[in-house]
This record gives sequence, C-alpha cells and structure tokens, in this order.
Amino acid sequence: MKIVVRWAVVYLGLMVVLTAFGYYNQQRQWQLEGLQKREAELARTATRLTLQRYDLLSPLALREWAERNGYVPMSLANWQRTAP
Amino acid sequence: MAQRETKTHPQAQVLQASLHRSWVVFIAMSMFVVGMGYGLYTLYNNAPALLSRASVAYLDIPPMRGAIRASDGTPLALSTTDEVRVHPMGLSASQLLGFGERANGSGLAGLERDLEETLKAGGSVRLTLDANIQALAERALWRAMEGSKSEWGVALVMEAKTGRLLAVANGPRFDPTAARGDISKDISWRNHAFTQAIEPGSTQKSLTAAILMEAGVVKIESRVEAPMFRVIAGRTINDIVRHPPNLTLAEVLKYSSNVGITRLAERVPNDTIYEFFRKLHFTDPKPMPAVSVGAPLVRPVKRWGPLETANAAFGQGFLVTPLHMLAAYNALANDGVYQQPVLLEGQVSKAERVFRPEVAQSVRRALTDGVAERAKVPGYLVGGKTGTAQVVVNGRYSSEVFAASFAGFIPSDKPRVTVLVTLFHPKGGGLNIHGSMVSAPVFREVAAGLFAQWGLPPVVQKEEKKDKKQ
Repeated sequence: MKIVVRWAVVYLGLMVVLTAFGYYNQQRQWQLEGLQKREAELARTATRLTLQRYDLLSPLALREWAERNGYVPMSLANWQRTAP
Repeated sequence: MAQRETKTHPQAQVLQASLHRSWVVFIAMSMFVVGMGYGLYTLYNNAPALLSRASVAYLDIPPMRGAIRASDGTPLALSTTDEVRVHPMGLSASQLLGFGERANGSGLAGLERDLEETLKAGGSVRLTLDANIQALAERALWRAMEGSKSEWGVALVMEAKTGRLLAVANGPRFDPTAARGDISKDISWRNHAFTQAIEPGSTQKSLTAAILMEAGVVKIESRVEAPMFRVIAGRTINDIVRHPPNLTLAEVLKYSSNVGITRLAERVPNDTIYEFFRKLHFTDPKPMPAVSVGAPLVRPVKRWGPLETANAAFGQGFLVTPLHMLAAYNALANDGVYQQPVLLEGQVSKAERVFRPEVAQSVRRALTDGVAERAKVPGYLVGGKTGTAQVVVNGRYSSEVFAASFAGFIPSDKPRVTVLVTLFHPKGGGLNIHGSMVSAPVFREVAAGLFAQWGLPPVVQKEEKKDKKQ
C-alpha cells in the first residue's frame, strides 16, 4: 500500500508540474495571440495610412490639385515684364 | 485438504499477491509514462516560445511578394501582411505594372508577369520611371484622349543619353483594384506602348531622312521635285499639306511630303534601308532586356518592290511598337547613337552608332525649324515630327481609323529626353485626327512640365535672334 501511495504522490507531483507548465504555456499563447492581433491591426493601419498619404500626395494627385487651383508650370508662365 | 494447505503456504500467498500487484503497478506505470510523454510532447510542440524560432516554425511559409518601385523609391505596387497587392500610386503606370491573381498576387500581365520569378521570391525591383514625369505624361495623355475620344493612347519619355525610360503612360485609365470585366473587350489593362505593333506613319520620315543622309545620297538642303501626288506600282501616293513643287529635304520633313520622301528614298537600294531598319532594331523582337515587347512585323527585304520601298519611306507597310519607334528616334536625339531602352535600374543599356553626329544634328535642326505649331513652347527649343498613319481594318486601309503620333526631342539642341505620343483612332472630326492636332499638344504639355521640373527659364532673346537671322 505504501508503494501505491508513494507512486501516487510522485504521479500527483508530476501532474502538478505538468499542469503548471501547461498553464504557463497557455498564458504565453494568449499573450502571443494578443500581440499578433495588435501587429495585424497596426499593419492594416500602416497600409491604410500609406495609401491615404499617396492618395493625397502622389504626383498625379498634386497635379490635379495644382490645376484645380490655377497653378501653371513655370515654363508656361508669363515671363515678359511690362515697364511701369 | 493437506494438498490445499500446502498450496496456500503463507510465503506462496505473499509471492502470488506480489505477482498480481506487479501487473497492476506495471500497467499503471505504463499508462503514467505514456500519459506524461504525450503531455510533454504536446507542450513542447505548442510552446509559444518555440513559434518565434523561425527556422523551426516558418520554414514552409513563402516570402511576401516583392515590391515594384519607381527610381526614387516611390512604391508602385507592394504587398503587405494584410493585402495581397496594393498600388499606392493608384492609376499611375497601372498598365505597365499589370496585375496578378487576386488570391496570391501571382503575375498575370505586365511587369507582375514578366518579373514573376524575382517578385515571387520576395525580391523587389526598382524601375527607371520618374514618378513625376510619369504623372505629367499621364495627365497630358488622358486629357488629350478625352478631348479626341481616342480608342487608346501612349506617351513615352526616354532619357536620351542612357536609354532609361522615364515615363510609360497608357490610356484609357486602368484601375488594377477594380473588378475585371471581359479583357477581350475592355482594353484599358493593356500596355499598348510595349505590346501593340502599329504602322508608325510619317514620324518615320525623319529616320528615312537620316538614313539617306548617312548613306551619302542626300544632304538636308538637297532638292527634289515633289508634286502633290505620284503613282507607284498602280497606287496613288498623295501629299496632304499644300507645298511648293520643289522642296529641300528639310522642307520635305516640314510639309511631311510623301511624294518628296519616296522620290529621295529611291536613291538608295532596298538593302540599305533594311540594314538601317535592323540597326534601329525595327526587326528585333526583344529590344529591351527582361520585359516582354510585341514583335515587330517587317517584310523580308527580298519581297520589297517599289511600293514597299515607298511605304517604308513614310512609315506604312511595316509594324513596330511605340517603344521601338521611341528608341529609334532616340538615336537622333543621342547624336546618332542607338541606346537600348532599359526599364529596370541596374541594367546597362547597350549603345550602337547608327548615324554620324552631324546627320542626327541636321535632322534635329530641320525638325526644330518645322515643328508643328501646337508642339511649340514659347522661349524653348523643341523639335519633332508629326505622323498620321493609316490603319488596316478588315484587310484594307480605313478612311476613318488613324494612328496620330508625335515624336520629338526636349530640348532639341541638346536633347535630354525623347518623347513619343500616339493616339489611336481619334474621333475629333475634321482635322482633329492628325498628329499635329491631337498628339502635338500632349508633347507640348510634357515639354512645358519638364522645363518647369528642370527649373529652366525660357530664353526669349535666343529666339528673337534666331528670328532675325531667318
């Protein structure tokens, strides 16, 4: 009986260690999932901001804006000065 | 009974009990070892810390598709962790870039297809395109296309000394992110600049002039009798622009005289013209490394008769892509040296002399003096040649479908870039089908934008002096 009890103690001891290890792993897993989710959100935000930035500042967008606001290329400007 | 007592001896009973118990212990220990082993195995394989060991966990994950960037690093197409492919520049250069599978980005058209191996392996490529010049060319081209209701159009800009392509604009606009329709009907996705071989038309006359001068049979001031029409092999060749009956070669270019250029072209054998076609890569199906280009179609010289020679002189009867034509024109800009066009940074453009420098300069001067009104930028020297090519529809030259072109140099005294503009099937009505009317303004707008970008002020005095000389 003593042997059974001893083995049971060993078994339970190891089960406690195993459970603790498993719990620790779960914690790490949840932490990792949280970080991955955050990373994906940041990547989405970065993509959106990149597209937004070029949508506003791309050469094509700037040209359209300049034309809308009446800017002309320097080469087509009126360079002739009239005497005061 | 005595036998039974003998069998149930206390020592024997203990032994028997021990044997029974050993089985129980053995089974329990086996289950324990198996259970513990399985637990450790599961924990080891699911330990989050191990996931960060890339060499173990991410070996089979393919790398993210490489990006395509303009020469200054501006992203044109790139992949992110959450998007298969994004195009930060929107519609800019979209036909050149092409597109891929929605699911994995695998290239189906354009550079996405041509550079599939590099991009798939995660390698990024940098193009020679200048994002500003690309936008400049696209803006001018799209506006002209809307005005002329053209079927498609291209505007190409090449750096004269290096052969680097600075802009490859195509129209109509193509949105690579929009739902795709029937690609056989909707042509907006096509990079006509590289893939569509067309008859170049009168822009070819400048090259013919250079060929004749290089062959030593004419000079830029050589005269030729040029009535308004002539008959060759039973076909009548007409001139469109009214002109004096006797023209110099420079005037032949100015008035775009078909009769004049065909009469001059008869002074050299067909083999000579064909040999220059070869030197100008008009027979080369791969004029540019690493990027697909439509094959030109030039009849073998042994099948050239008088009509074929005449056609070749003014740009009909053979098909080349706008890229072929641009690179050939660039030989005039680059003082007679043909530069292989390149689109990827790091590629070295091969150079090959085709014309003597003085020949190229004479032709450029003639094209500057006779440049179309709508191509001129006051205060600057620009030169170029118009072209309005007839197009074969159902086996015959159509009286309605034309390819209106303008090819020129900016500036024309010391060209920094060569520009080619082609509008296919403009429907403006009246004169608004000609290169001088619909394509020259695109060239002008590109030239004006480039002068502004380079920070070059107009040189009014120089032009006034020049006027006095004339």
